[in-house]
Amino acid sequence: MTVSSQPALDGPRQRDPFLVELAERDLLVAGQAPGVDALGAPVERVVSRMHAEIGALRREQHGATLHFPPVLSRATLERSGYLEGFAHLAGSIHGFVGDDDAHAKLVDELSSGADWGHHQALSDAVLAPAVCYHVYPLLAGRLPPGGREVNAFSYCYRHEDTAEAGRLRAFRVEEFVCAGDRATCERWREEWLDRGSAYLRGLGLTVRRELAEDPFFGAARRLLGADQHRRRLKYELQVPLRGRWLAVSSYNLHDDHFGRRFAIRRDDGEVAETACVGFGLERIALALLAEHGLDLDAWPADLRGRLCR
Amino acid sequence: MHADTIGTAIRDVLREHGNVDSDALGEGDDLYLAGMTSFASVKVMLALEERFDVEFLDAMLNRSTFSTIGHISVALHELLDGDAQTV
Repeated sequence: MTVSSQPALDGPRQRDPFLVELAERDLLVAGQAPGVDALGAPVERVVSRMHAEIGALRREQHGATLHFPPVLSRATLERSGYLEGFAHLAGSIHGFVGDDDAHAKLVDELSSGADWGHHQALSDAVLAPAVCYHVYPLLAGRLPPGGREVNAFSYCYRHEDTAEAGRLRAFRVEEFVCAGDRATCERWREEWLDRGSAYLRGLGLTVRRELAEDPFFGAARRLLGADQHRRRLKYELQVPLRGRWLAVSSYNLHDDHFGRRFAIRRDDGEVAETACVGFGLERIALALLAEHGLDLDAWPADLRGRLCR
Repeated sequence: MHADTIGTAIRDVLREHGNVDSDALGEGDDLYLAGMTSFASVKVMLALEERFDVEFLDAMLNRSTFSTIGHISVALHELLDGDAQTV
């Protein structure tokens, strides 16, 4: 089925001209909620090939690679501190609680357009805001000498209001987590910055490296965002997307934040530090479309061979 | 404001917002090691600003400033002494 004959699907909120062009070719079609979009098969193929290629860049070829569902234990989210920093971005999952009377009220409220949320209660699961949150609980205990690296992959969800190309609310991240001592985490991140830059350049993209900060909620941004910036805890690799720069990969040091919260210990018994690196696969795919054109058959031959077959 | 008044106020704020037993801590003890989380340090920052009617300068907004009672005290003195007002 082609949906390009139904432009109404893209709706009035589709303001970005790049998004309109993508939708006309069925490459990225807007869903009914902002930032929750469908990928056309050729773009999905690019994403899945990059998933395999980036996964193969890891240092420890023998280490674990884990594919997680988009859903995370609520207890893990609570333990991670995510709600203290990013309550506005968390997507919680609720379920109906009540008897037949309450259910009848819910249906009445639904049909009259009233708020039915008060019948819902928090469940034991949330939407994963980042892939690495799946990993930290698995690292609890004592690490081997030299630390550990884990490769993980899943959909993530961020509760953002967006109509901007490249800012999806549901997206896939190829992620790597390192746990060990400070020097190990710093060296590991630096190696990944080089490896990530080389990979993106190999896709024909111009890459720039920028210091960044996480979008903390409220007043926390003043202190924690500035501190992150000053202490160079977060770098992004950015690539061009139609006249602006789009962050497609991030490189983070966490101090001992997750080591403490998830009881991760180095081989000498001290609290471990952690670092993570994530590649936003849909974002890289969009940057490739912007760079090489919306006709994937006209992409450079080596990229077609790697990503389009 | 006297140094001991400021010191007492810092300990009050840390007890209430910093999640630490501030009376048991020395001027140089690491508050993060004593159990203050990143989020608690933000609450401490806001409570101190309200209590002293000051605003921490951008250059002070880092983990180090809020890592010990002594460092917090130095930053507050700088703000209260007025020479920071012209920055």
